[in-house]
Amino acid sequence: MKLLRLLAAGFSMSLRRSVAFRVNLVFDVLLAFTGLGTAIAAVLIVFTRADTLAGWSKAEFLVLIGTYQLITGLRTTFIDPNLSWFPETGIREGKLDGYLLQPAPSLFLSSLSLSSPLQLIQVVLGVGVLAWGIGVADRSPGAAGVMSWLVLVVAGTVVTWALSVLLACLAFWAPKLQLDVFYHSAWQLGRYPTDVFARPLRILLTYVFPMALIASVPSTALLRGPQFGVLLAGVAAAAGAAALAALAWRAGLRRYTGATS
Amino acid sequence: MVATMSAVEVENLSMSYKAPVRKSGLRAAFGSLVRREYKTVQALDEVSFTIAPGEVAGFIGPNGAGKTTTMKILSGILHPTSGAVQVLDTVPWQRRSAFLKRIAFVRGSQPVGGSQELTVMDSLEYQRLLYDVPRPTFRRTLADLEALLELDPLLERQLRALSLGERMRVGLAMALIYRPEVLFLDEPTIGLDVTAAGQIREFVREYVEQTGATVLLTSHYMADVESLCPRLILIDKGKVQYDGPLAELSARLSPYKLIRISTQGDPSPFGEVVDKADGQWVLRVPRDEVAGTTGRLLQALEVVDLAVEEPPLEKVIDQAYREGLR
Amino acid sequence: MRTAVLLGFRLRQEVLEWSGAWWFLMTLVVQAVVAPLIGLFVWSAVYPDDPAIARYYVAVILVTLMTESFEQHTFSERIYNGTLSHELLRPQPVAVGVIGMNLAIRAWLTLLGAPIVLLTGIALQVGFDWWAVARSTPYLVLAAVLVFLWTFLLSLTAFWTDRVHAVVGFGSQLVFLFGGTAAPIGLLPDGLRRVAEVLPFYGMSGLPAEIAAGTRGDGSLGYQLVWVVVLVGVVMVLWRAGVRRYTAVGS
Repeated sequence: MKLLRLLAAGFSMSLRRSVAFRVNLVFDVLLAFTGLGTAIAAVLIVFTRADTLAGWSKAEFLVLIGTYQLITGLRTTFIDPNLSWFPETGIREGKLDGYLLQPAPSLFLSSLSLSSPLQLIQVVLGVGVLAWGIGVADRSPGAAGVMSWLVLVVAGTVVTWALSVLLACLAFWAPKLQLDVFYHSAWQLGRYPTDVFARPLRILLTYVFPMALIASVPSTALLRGPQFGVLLAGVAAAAGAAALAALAWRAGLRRYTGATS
Repeated sequence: MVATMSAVEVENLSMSYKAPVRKSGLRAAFGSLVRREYKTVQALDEVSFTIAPGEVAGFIGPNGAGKTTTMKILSGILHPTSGAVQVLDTVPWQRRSAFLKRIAFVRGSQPVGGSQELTVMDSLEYQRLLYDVPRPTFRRTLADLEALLELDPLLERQLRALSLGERMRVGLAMALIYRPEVLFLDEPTIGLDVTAAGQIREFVREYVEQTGATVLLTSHYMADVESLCPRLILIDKGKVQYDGPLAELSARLSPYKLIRISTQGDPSPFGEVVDKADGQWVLRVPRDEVAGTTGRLLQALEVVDLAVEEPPLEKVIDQAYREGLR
Repeated sequence: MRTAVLLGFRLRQEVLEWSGAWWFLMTLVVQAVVAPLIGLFVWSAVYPDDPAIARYYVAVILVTLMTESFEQHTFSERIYNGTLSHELLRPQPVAVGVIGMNLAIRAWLTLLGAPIVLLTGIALQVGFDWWAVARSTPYLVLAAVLVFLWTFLLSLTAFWTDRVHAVVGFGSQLVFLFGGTAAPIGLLPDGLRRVAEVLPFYGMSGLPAEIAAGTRGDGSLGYQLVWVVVLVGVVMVLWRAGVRRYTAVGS
């Protein structure tokens, strides 16, 4: 409860601040538009040459891009402001020390306490593309499809958070390793259905670095109907990833508080 | 709450850690991935002291002496390797919420954390939520702090837009808004000009008078320590070298006096040479040997001029940092 | 001549400096590779029987690695934190430092990324015509110049805005879309293709890649050269205006 209040307070304060800077607001909105526009254009170009791509229709692709954009927006709004460049900002500049002194769980403070509300524009745009995709689809999704999409999107968001935390935890063991650029590059792969990629990459993206869960899996559930097994696996993956992240954080913190100055 | 005899109790505190040894160059960079060499650094070695409630103690020592490490342990950021610590009858590194609400650790090098986009007032509001400060208490404390720290013109400014002195004032306000009972101040005046540093000192003194808080303060500026701390703890190479009143530290170091002498000869056999230039020598000589040494100098060398001086306190401390206390 | 010596010195210094961050350079390699790699998979799925697609995209990956530019990080940051003042005081063109670092990073990315490209090539059984590869060299050099000029041009906006990353991000989106990474230019819809052939972005990656892959026998170096001249002109105008503003406002 207190954590939610802290999250809300931080969010509304940041929002008031950032709205005050109109020029930056315009920049961020424009960039969100062009970024999404470029991604969609790249896909639409493909569909001038083919009717389906790796078994996915244009409408399905739009739903996928919308879902991807939605989760990416949530990440850049709530997670990135906290955990990006963690070895630098969190450890070397002493942000983590400050959090350890505060009377709230350090994992919450380190991973969710700051936010950049303007990035929510990406979520709005994502929902727009999603609606467009559903609009041009051959058949509209059923209630079960929508429900399972929702569950899988929540699961995907949790996995996103957990991945970011796990990545940050690496800093406790290898403080010089800075994998943000790598993470963001790998993230780009989520914008396409995993069916497009060659088999080894597909397996990697499904089980090791579960980008599939971010967009491919929820979109499939929405348009082609839910599969109970997939739903269960998604929820289990979210729970497992979150538990792993919490464990890694605790282990990392033990190391940090015991071994570094 | 149980009444306590001491606010801070440190017993045989030791801290060592392994630091990787890194050689430069590309080959070493690749090599360090495979196997790394470590060396053990003994940051603290059997440190013991206690601080009574309401006491203001100065914690001094050269860079790398272990001051910040001790502060980090006392505030709960670090686990020591061995030894026992009680702050407000609690083991700090368990970091219980109730404990964290009663202490504050302010670093002059990074006084304000959190989002730098926020205004000072927003950040204080956030602290209120974080530390569960009841609204009426918050308003009252804020009014006090506004007066003490001249916060009024700063409240609507963004953190990122503050000057160094302003940041320190805001950092203190953010820490004191929840009225901590124990205050760890790590170089609170670092980088500040004389006026700003004076303001901070004045403020700490008034806060202590008003609230009876316990303070442990590190500083490289003797002015801070002399004006605030009746008691000094000097730490060097991880060991406590001196623990007692400020006045006694000077007395203990001033068994030495300086003899300033102008001569063509070499007076170095008669005492420790502190300085020499153009036939001017400065010798450091134990106080009780000053008379004898002076006599022998006048006999042995052709002396143009000779004067006996008290060493300045800054120099005394510097001497202690470089050589340790005997 | 003196400038060349200074540049050589700076380049060696930067190459050594970046050697300590080789794993970070590795992540930059991954970043450079991802977009063309996705293009490779997507278009191979559309035309599974055309070996030219894979050959073209392997070439695009190589061109991207050899022409990466990060002036929004290396140069704009100096404007933001005020250290540009030191550079302005030194008796050498500021561009020497910028270009030296640019070339050093490119050298490292190429060195570290080449094995990845080779592996991809072997895995996809891509066969290059080495004569075509050799012929692509002048186009590649001009592409490298163009990418640098384009990124540096956009980085100069840091004199006026603190959102330089957004500006450069937008610039890379244009290169991605019109430069031949999202799709080979020839596969774009007609109208778009005609626009793309005139814009400078095709000359930054698609053109040298097509020549190296042999899908295009000859191209127009003149088209690239015209854009080099235009961009140099704009960069110089912006640079003067920017420095005037920087020294007037002070930092």
